[in-house]
Amino acid sequence: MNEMRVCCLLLLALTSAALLLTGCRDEKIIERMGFTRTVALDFPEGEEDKTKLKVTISIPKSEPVNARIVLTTIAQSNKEARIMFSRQNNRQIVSGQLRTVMFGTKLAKDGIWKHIDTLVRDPSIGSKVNVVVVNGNANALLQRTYKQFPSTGEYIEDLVRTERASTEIPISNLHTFSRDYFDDGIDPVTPLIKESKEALSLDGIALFRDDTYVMRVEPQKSLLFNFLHKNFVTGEVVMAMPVQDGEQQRVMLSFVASNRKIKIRHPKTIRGGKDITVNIHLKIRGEVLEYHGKLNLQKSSDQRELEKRMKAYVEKETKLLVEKMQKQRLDPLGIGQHARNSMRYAQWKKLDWREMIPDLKFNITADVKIKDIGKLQT
Amino acid sequence: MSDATSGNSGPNTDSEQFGSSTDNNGPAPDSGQHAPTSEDGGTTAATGQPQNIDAAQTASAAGTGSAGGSAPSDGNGNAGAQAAAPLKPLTMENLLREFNNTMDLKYRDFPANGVTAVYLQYMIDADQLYRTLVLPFSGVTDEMAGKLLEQAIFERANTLEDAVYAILYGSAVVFSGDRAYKLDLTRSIGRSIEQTETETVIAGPHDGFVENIVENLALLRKRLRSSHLKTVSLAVGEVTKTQVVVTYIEGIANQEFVGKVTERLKSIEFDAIYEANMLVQLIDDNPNSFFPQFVVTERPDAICSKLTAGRVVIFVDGSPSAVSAPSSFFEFFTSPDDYYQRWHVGTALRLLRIVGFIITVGFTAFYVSVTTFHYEMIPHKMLLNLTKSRSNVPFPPLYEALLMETTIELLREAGARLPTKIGQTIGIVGGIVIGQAAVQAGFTSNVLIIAVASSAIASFVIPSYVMSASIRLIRFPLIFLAGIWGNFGLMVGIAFIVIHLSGITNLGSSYMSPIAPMNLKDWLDTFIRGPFSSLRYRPSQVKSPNKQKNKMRK
Amino acid sequence: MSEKLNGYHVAFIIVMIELDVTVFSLPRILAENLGTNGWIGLLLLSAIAFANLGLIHLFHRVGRGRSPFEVAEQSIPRLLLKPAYILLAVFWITIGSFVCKKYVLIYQMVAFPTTNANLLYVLLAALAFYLLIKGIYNIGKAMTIFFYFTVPAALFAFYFKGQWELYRFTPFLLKGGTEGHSLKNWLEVYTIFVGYEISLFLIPFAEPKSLFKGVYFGHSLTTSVYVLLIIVSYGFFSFEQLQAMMYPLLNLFSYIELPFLNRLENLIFTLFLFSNLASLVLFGWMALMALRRAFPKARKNMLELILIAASLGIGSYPKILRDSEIMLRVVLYLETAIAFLLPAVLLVLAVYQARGKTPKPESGTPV
Repeated sequence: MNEMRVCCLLLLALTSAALLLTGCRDEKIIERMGFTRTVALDFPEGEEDKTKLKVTISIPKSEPVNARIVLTTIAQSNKEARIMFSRQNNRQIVSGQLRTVMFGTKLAKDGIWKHIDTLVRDPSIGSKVNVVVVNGNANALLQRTYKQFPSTGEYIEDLVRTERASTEIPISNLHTFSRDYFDDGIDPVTPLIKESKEALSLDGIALFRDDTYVMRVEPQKSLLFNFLHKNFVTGEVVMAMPVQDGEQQRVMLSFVASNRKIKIRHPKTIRGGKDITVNIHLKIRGEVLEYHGKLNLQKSSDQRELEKRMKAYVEKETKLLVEKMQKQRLDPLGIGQHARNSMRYAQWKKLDWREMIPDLKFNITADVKIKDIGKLQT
Repeated sequence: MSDATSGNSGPNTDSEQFGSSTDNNGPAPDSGQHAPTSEDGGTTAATGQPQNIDAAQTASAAGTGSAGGSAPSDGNGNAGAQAAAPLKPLTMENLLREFNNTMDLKYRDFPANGVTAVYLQYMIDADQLYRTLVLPFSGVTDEMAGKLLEQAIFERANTLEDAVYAILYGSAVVFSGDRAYKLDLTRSIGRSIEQTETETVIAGPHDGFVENIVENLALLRKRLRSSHLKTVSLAVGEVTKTQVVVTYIEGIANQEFVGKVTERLKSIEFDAIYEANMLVQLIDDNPNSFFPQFVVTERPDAICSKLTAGRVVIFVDGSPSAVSAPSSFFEFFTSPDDYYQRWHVGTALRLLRIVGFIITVGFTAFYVSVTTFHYEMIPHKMLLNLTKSRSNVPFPPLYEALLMETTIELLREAGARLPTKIGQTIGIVGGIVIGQAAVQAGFTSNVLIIAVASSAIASFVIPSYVMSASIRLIRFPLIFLAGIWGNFGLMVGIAFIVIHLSGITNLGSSYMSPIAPMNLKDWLDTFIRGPFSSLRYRPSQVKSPNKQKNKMRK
Repeated sequence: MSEKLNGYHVAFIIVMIELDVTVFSLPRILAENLGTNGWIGLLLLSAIAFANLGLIHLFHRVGRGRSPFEVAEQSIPRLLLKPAYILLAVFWITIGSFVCKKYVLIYQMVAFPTTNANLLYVLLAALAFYLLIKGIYNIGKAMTIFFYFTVPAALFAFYFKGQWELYRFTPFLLKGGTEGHSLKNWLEVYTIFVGYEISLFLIPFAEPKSLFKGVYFGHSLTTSVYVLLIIVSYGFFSFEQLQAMMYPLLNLFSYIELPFLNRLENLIFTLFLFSNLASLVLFGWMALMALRRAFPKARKNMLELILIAASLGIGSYPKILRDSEIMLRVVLYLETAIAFLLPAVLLVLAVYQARGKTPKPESGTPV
């Protein structure tokens, strides 16, 4: 009996609460929402006013396939823009399905943390939102439709995802960006894309100093950057080595496994960056299925020769890349994290790591081995 | 109804006890114990309300007091004549008076020796009657008749009540001089053993219990040849006096549970019991719970396994189902099939059923919650399809879901009420046509149809029909909650169910066993079906004095 | 009430009362207060909690399994005890209410920005009442099931394997907290364990043999769940990022994308409704025990009703998240003190009683 009474009581409480609740609208019924999929942020063209922001959003429509709504406005901030969009649109604009946020070069060079901060703070936005820098005008890129491809927002996501899988570019989303932004031993990186006539293409990697975009790694070099950046296992990479013996050599490495090891050496007291030696050892293993060059890979001696050449190539090129980054006082490789782990807390806190970067001594060694050359003998 | 009763079976029959109840009903007929005449019957019929249960309690006292006088009134004749026994001597007249207005009561006398037999014509086996009574007693002398009555098949009836019952259960009462004997001539009534319709298995025995308790007990005995298998008979139902048999295996079943079951059965004061599923609701610990609390099955093999596991089993005459007690929630998700398959398959089946349970309870509700509140949880590709399918639907997901769920329930119920062939047609026509049309008319989204249909299908994976019905029912409040408060509401609903479940006891033991109280050994035979070598112990819930069931050393 | 709680259930009760919404900000709290490698600090604190549990265990031994109330009433006049009971009851229900309210407020932030938070709270309170009237044995059963709903979510930790780097831990030991080390900082972290003192009141309701096995097991289980989550967070987030985030675990789980479901934080955070409800119910149960002692003749379910009504009142008090956090912190500080003081005082009483008595003491009889 008692049970019964309690049940009744609960039911009463529930229904009364339910009745009271009707009125408040937190409902987000899917077909009444406009889900922002992609946001592009940039300064308005031709204006020098840095308080204004040009925002474009892309909202996919379920029908017809690949259709979408593109809205553009000029506002003070991303949030304000959203309010303006909601006014224009017949649906409520929500950002829970945001997948990509793009920054134009101009804005990125000015610093993007402000905008990232709003996005990270918003509980409706997840942390796996791609962060991409557009080489050029982000708004224009998002507004365009690329006929052969799915709707632009989806196109960008697919592009970023597939390229990431083939390790052309490092992972970059709200989480990694803010993680590296906050960390004092590493700088964030994002992919860089640009529009060409018919399509979008990846245009290398954008390196940030804190939250400002300062340096670009060209697409040809992004493989080398990846060797330095992290361990990875991937399908295929092409190593286009410079002319040697009067001939351009190209090696297609398949099933590459690359492993980097960073070792930091420094005396007890550190007076400057010169005192710190950074040893980076790269271990690269791959299968050679395609090779253009004079060497005869059936011979193991020639295989060894090729390995040697590749090693020399990797060491030289990475060294150049690192020097370029040092010049810009950049540490996207997370050398700082390793340096930090090699010293005492107080010592690390005393250092001005950013200023020391240009003086660091880098030793890069590579160990390239050909696992096999495939099924053919000759 | 009382008309009928009084007409046929002589309301007075069982009058005494109920006599007392009569007191309550109609004090008038104080005419003395013998009052019961057809008029009385008539009266009863007129006034005769279903007997008053409380009255029964006080019956004996009242009975004595008023000399059972009030007896007649009990149109509803609650039989339990105990009280009256000492008052009315067991004589032919009294007996016939009990059965006045009973056209199917016959008596046959043998003038040669003064032996008279009284019986209900349609309850007994005529052939047997001829062989055991008519043939031997025809034309024999007094003396011979006396000898014949000493055979073991003739059992002395000492009280009127005794005799009345014997007749009601299909015996003949034989009077010889001032003595009365009972002779069991019961005829088997009802269908013969055949496969159960509700719990079919692919592999395994195909016989099922039937409405006849004699057949059922025979089935049981055939499977369980043990003298430790005890069968205790009780009569339940104030009017129907349904025979209920409590069976258990001595030494394996916990006597505490046996005692509790018997006690509860005895304390039932309900006019009629027709079915085991009905009986269950009169004896369970939590009558207001929406979950069934005792496993009820029509399968003899299942019942045997319950008995050997140390549970107490209750048979009800007239019902093809047997009750096993105590039961746990997860027992409803097991089927005898599990043991007839390889253990891997059995395990997969059990897990499948639990998945089915989760889908049934939560799928539609989750759909409602996500489409109403948590759009961000839907992967993008799926979201576009969902939006597309919902774009023409005029109502919010909550109403959409309730509408479809109700439709499915309608279809199911209609199918169940109709003959198999029509039922199937209804299912197909209703399911496909309505579903298709509803989507095209923009009434519902096709994704919802998938959700609703799959949760309906999943609910039928649960072997116990009663449990699956309960689970289908609790979906509705969950859908409702999900529609108002999204995931929060859904979790509130689930929390409510969990709290409710953990409060349920089953003959005082925990319904949630073996999760709470936790017993990991039992998990081997609950969520998965371990290989037989690992099933070494009887379930902890039954608190068997003989815990080990598997003595093989691997 | 015939059945006694078995060790497993005691363990789950302990886990569920310790685990509450605070776990979502736990990595941040650690990073702020203890600094790098905070998990080591957490282990130290857990050891202190173990010591506290040891104290309760000792009381259990010395008091020969008598309930704390019996021991107290034997030496302290009832007149003094009654207000103490009422005070404790109010205090405990306050903790439960604040915990739940904080959960509701965060939930409101995540999913229901315009819904009245008190309304959601009413739902929780109704559930709490429903569970509370069922008695501790059934509460134990419910806790077990809630446990299975909640804690496995921690296994998602393994999803982050790819993004987890050991070097983010840094070799620094407890450095870099925002305010340096002080008792207050450590205390703030310690409050995440608050709740284990329920074991004191479980004494008369649990099987004496397995009670403390369960308590220790439950506490270690909580600690290991915490440590698992913290280790994942420390390797997944950078240290400074941890300090910057309000609820790192929300961000952590929002990173999960399954093929059929995204943004799992929505689901996992909702699942934690169970553990917060559990905290409310268990603190409510402690309060109930105290009230029962103060008003032994109260009508059935009356005290429960009063408690839940009080909880509704108290729960409606913190209206914004900031207030709620501060109030919760204050009561948790107090509760930490109580967790130490109560068994200590009781232990003294029990020792005193054991001495003052002839070898064979009759439990429960007043001196």
